[in-house]
Amino acid sequence: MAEASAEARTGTGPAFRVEGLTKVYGMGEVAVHALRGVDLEIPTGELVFILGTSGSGKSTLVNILGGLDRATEGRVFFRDLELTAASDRALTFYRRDSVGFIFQMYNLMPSLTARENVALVTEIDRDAMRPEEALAIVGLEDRLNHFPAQLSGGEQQRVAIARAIAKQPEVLLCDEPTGALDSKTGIRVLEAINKVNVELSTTVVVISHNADMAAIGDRTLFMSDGRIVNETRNARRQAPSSLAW
Amino acid sequence: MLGARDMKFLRDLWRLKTQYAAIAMVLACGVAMTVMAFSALNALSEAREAYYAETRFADVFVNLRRAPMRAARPLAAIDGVATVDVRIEEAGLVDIPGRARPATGRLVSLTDGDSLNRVLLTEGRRPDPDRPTEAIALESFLEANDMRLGTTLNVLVRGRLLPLRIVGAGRSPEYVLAAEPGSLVPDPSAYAVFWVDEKALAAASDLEDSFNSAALTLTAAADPPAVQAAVKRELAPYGVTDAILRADQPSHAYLEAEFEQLFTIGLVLPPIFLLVAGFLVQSVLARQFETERTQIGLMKAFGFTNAEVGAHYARHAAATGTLGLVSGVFFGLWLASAIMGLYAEFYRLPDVAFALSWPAIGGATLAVAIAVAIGVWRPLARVVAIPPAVAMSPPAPAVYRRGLLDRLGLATVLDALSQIVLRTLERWPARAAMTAFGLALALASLVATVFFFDSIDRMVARAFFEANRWQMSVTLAEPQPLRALAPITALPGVIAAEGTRTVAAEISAGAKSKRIGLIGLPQEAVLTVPLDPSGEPMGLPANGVIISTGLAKRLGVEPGERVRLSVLERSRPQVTLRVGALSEELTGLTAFIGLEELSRLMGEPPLVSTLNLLVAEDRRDGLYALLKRTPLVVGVEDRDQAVTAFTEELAEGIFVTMFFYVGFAAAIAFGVAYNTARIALSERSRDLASLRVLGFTTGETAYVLLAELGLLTLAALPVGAILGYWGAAYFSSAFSTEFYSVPLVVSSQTYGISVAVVVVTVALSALVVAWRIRRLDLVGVLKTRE
Ligand SMILES: Nc1ncnc2c1ncn2[C@@H]1O[C@H](COP(=O)(O)OP(=O)(O)OP(=O)(O)O)[C@@H](O)[C@H]1O
Ligand SMILES: [Mg+2]
Repeated sequence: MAEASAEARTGTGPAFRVEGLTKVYGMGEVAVHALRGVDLEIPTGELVFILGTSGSGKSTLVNILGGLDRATEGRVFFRDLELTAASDRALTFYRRDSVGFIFQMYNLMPSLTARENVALVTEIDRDAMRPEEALAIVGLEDRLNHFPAQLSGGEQQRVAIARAIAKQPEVLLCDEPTGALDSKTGIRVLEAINKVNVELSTTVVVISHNADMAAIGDRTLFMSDGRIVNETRNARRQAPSSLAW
Repeated sequence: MLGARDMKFLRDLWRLKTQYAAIAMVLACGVAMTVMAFSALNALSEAREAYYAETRFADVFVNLRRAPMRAARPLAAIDGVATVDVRIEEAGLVDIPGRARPATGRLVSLTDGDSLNRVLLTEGRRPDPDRPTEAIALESFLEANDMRLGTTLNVLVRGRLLPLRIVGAGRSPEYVLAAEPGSLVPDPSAYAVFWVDEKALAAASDLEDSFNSAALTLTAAADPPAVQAAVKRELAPYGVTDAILRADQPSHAYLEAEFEQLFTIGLVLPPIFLLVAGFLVQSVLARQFETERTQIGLMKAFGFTNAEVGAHYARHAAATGTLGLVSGVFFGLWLASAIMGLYAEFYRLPDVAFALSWPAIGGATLAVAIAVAIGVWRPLARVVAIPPAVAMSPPAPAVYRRGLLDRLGLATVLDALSQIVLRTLERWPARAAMTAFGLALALASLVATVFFFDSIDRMVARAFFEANRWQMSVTLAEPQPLRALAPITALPGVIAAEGTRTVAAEISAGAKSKRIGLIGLPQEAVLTVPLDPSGEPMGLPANGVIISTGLAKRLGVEPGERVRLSVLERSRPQVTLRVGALSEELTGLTAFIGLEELSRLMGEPPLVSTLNLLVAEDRRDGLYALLKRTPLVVGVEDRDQAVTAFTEELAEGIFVTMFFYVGFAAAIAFGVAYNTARIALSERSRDLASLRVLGFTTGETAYVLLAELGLLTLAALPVGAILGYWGAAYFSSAFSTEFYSVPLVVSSQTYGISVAVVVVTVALSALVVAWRIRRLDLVGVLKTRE
């Protein structure tokens, strides 16, 4: 593992600091308040789960943390970088250098093989793993030269994880990463995510609809109607392999 | 009440509006060109017919040396002749006040009553029979020289100065295009026609109670060649030089040739646009169906029939076609009315009324329908083929395979973004080829039109500098022995003089024949030299004739074969000669033989009818002054003036046309490039947004989208250049008339300009599309499946 990222992981400050975050879609009569004042701190190296009903604002929050969307009000910091004040270009480079994303839809490039899909991001990052290495972490070392159309849904999702972790991001943001997968495949995906968090000390945020799944994390946030309404802390993290759903 | 399907139709139409508008624009260009060309043609033809009828334009034109009035009577008795009109025509050299160079003049006797080839008075009045010096002058000549009625001009006729007072301005169907015989383009300022009282002209030209010109109209049942032959027979004792049919009358023939060019434009260019539009309709619709597979399956699952679903999508094409057609018709009519004024002035046709060409609009409608049908057919076939079950299954990622790229080992060398570009091209080769072909057509249509400028340059260089090296060419009233020309050759300022002889002749091979000017050149001629097709000067062949390549083609003869020459002047000798060589003549139909041989043939001592001069620049004006007073001279042509007139007159017309074509070709390029980029954007907006999510900049993302277009443009350039050259070759032969041949030259500058227009247009449309990458919805794309 690279020295630089090890140093960043052991840093004492929080990875994210969110103050009074509000997000309103639309205006006037049709305005939708997706977030209504969220305050939050996520320490470096933590594995956080976000649970909540549909439409409660989970994706909105994570998208803002990842620099994909803009806040309406409030401030969001990633370490010293104020995301809420950053330019589009700065956000682009923030995503490029520091963030790994995993979505329910795998969003692979159909014209690139598994290895090339990973290489896509490692090519633009200095201290990235080799694509083969990243694919080996998710157990796809023998499917390097397959195109997305030739892979199952779970395999495609694991390629997406390999792509997200290959550049050894400081944070990994996952929006329902197992949503489209059966439980056995889902567990393999969670194992990969867990491994990244444990071995690389990457800060990980996972959105899920499955409360049992949150047992593998450090902390669970509950959202409702645009607010964080509750949070619980796990004394002991369970191994993903012990889950079943 | 709009149903749900109507709403979907309207929303989709609105969403795809810019793409459909771009297609409609290409369609509209094709339609506009057709409508413009045929409406203009229609209006001009109708104006010409009305003009001919009003002025009683003749069917046969006869020239002879001199015949007594009674000789006209037997002409009327010839079977098929309706009316006979006789008159006097005389050449004259016109001194224009304040200008050194004299103009070539033609004096025509003015008979009154219901004569043929009547003059239309546009200003002033007819000459008073009691005032023999009054005349009507050709309107175009007066205008070109800024001359007012009341001006008196001195005209040199048969060695005598005849003062003419201009009392009227007129137009005549015989001089719609007033050009000196043998000159490249009409130069109205240098060609004057005067209609004067018959008795006055008879007195001036010693033709009292005689005529030297006749005009005939024919009955509907007449056999024109038979009449022609009979007229020549009847007038043979009076030195008939010529009896030509209307088709060969210079002004009429010139108009015919111009009309033919308009016809060619209207017929040849629009199909290119319609073809491209059809291809664009196809690519946009095919793309729409691809993204809507699930929806289409769903509609079918709900129980809509193939016909209903197909009709739903066909409406898009129909709407686009209708928009293109309607805007094209209006644009075309607007262009036609704009260009009509230009043509009316150029051709001096009175009352050019705007005439809608219904056949052109009908034809354009049919062509648009065909183009749209071609565009819609394949995509619709695919809609029918979609099974309802696709609605139930999620769309699989597009299937890519390891292709040529990987086999060549390129995959490992290139960065991932470039691989995306190349694999996409590899994945849809037919579509890539179509795009490249569309761009190639745009480039080709530019090259094939811009090359006209090269052609004109070459014409000028050949005609005025390489083949004809004289600065001044003096036409003599009568052929003279060279000795007798000392008064001219000895004039101050004449550096070199060379005499040639031109006689009217008919050249024939087999059943084909053509009237030409047969030019006798001295062996050592340097001021007039025939050029071979590669532009090199060539010597005169011993006892053979050099004919132009155009003439050879018309007669169907090759070098070495024999042609028959019948001289139409004097003793009217005939001879059969071998074609010694072919020359590249840009103007008219001419043939060269040795002057000695021509003289032998005519049975005369060496005589010359034209004197070509090299002159000292500073003595030029003085020389003109002297020439104007030299009795032998009837015409003076000035090289510099001719070059200016040529480039101005011809280029002016061409510039306007060229302006349209460059615009039209750019429209094709834009239509193709914009649609390609736009389709690529919507097809891959998801992938592109993913790239943005992964931290690629807008520029890097745009690269994936636009590098493909760049590569296709690159591939299109050589193809377009070759197609363009072919197009130029086609136009150069289609636009070559009897009066001039359009040489095929395509300069690197032409290629450069055309490529630049295409590249800039593509770059502009790429920019428009790239701008949209900034507005890609990063969050939205993550939620939906497609
Ligand atoms: N682009 C948008 N325009 C308007 N409203 C939006 C938009 N995106 C999200 N919303 C609204 O914001 C609210 C929060 O949406 P968000 O996607 O964050 O919910 P979520 O908690 O992720 O739900 P789910 O579990 O269904 O994914 C919802 O009420 C949604 O309708
Ligand atoms: Mg969500």
